Amino acid sequence: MAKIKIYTSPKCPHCKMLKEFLSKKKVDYIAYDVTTDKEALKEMINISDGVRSVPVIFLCDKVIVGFDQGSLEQELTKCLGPGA
Amino acid sequence: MEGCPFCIKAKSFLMEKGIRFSEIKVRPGSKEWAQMHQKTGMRIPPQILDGDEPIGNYSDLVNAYAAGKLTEKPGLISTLYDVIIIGGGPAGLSAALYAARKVLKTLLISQDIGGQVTYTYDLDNYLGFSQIETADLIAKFEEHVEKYGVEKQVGKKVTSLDLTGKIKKVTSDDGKTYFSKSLIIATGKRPRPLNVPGERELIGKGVAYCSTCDAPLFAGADVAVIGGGNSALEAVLDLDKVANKIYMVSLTELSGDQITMDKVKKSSKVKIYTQYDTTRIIGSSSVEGVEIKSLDTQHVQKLDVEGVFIEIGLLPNSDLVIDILSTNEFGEILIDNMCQTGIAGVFACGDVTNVPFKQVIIAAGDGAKASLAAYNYLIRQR
Ligand SMILES: Cc1cc2nc3c(=O)[nH]c(=O)nc-3n(C[C@H](O)[C@H](O)[C@H](O)COP(=O)(O)OP(=O)(O)OC[C@H]3O[C@@H](n4cnc5c(N)ncnc54)[C@H](O)[C@@H]3O)c2cc1C
Repeated sequence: MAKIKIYTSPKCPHCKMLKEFLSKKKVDYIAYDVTTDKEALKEMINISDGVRSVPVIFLCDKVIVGFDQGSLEQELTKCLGPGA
Repeated sequence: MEGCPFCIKAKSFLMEKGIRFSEIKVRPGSKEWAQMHQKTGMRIPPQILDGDEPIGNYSDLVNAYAAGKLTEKPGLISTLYDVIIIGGGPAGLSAALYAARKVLKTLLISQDIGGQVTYTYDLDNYLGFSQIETADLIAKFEEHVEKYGVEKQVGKKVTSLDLTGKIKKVTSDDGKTYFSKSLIIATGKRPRPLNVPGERELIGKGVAYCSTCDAPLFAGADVAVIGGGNSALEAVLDLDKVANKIYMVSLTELSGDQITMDKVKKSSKVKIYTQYDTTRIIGSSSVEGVEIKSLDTQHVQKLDVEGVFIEIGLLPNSDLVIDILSTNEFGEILIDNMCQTGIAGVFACGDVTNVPFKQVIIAAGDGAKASLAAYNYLIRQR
């Protein structure tokens, strides 16, 4: 199962850039559209302690808000090991 | 010593060869001047020492290097770039492309790729694309730059610059320092914060700056939009599709495109407060309300909202150079028509500058211009 979940909205450029970044890195992920999937929206707000902004990334028990390539790269390495 | 051309030459030479050195500044009569005389027997700077051993002046340094006599080995300091570009928005990416095509040794440092334009979903005014998603346009820009193999440091924030010498020094938040013969500043703009209590603490938790991204997350909610210009009006329209009630709070009367303004005024969901200041955002773990104050009566009231969208304009990212370069009253870097800033070898382009009309195509055009100007500058230095 994919270790990474991302919560997104359809008209969010950062969400699209995040998806492209993960695909380029050949990292598996599950994406939820929180504008149509109310359960996912609830879950996102729950795990992030109240965040209402996309994208939210859940990886290896860590929650990251927003797409920041530099810090995400570091977290990916921590979560999946080097080469990720 | 100040005003000493051979001191500058010696430093550039060492820098160019990647030889680590430290500089001791002297002035006639100073303690350091006496030390220089004592250690080298000479009274004319520059004097170069290898450890404790005096090498001599600039031409002695060049000779010692050619004869392989220096104990400090070349290549100890990191690479010397022809040009470092700060910023990965349209201006910086275009500058990178043009620099790479001139075969300049180029480094692009940026917090992100794309910049401000990633706060809007699509564009319909970039030549060649009647409509394109910004994420796709930025991906195309990046791909084009990547084709030339430009070295990039993404996710790094530049925290300080040293522009005093001929070699410019750029330090990033991971503590690394990069050296370059020229510099292009393309740091763009960022959303202007309200600077009221509660704002910072609740960013992402109801406080939002990107309505295209986050508006759909406020379905059925009551929300406030702060601001009275075009971007605030657009945010209201984004929210109008999903939210229950929208309060629009502006210090001034509304201004913007008539069509957008009419649409906003027609919506039954929208209540407009003009001549109102926003004084506080309320909430412990997420936004619960916003406090506004009438400029007229000074009456303070609380609006119960779950979201506050802040759309009060943009600020230039010129903090790094605000006390080094000339800026205008908005903090934008002043440039001439060659993107020159007033310090030789330092160029600026895009939204961080005083160039009129902030648009992607204009920023990209200016980025190209900055690189070509940097290229001309470098040629003249040879
Ligand atoms: C909501 C919105 C909608 C818009 N719509 C349009 C439109 O429809 N059409 C159009 O043509 N234009 C539009 N614009 C304007 C357009 O986005 C800008 O003109 C353009 O992005 C400017 O490009 P730039 O490269 O100068 O700056 P920016 O895009 O702001 O890029 C600056 C870059 O510098 C980086 N940076 C800043 N400081 C540092 C630092 N200290 N260290 C490292 N990196 C740093 C940033 O991370 C960023 O990558 C819009 C802007 C916004 C905000």
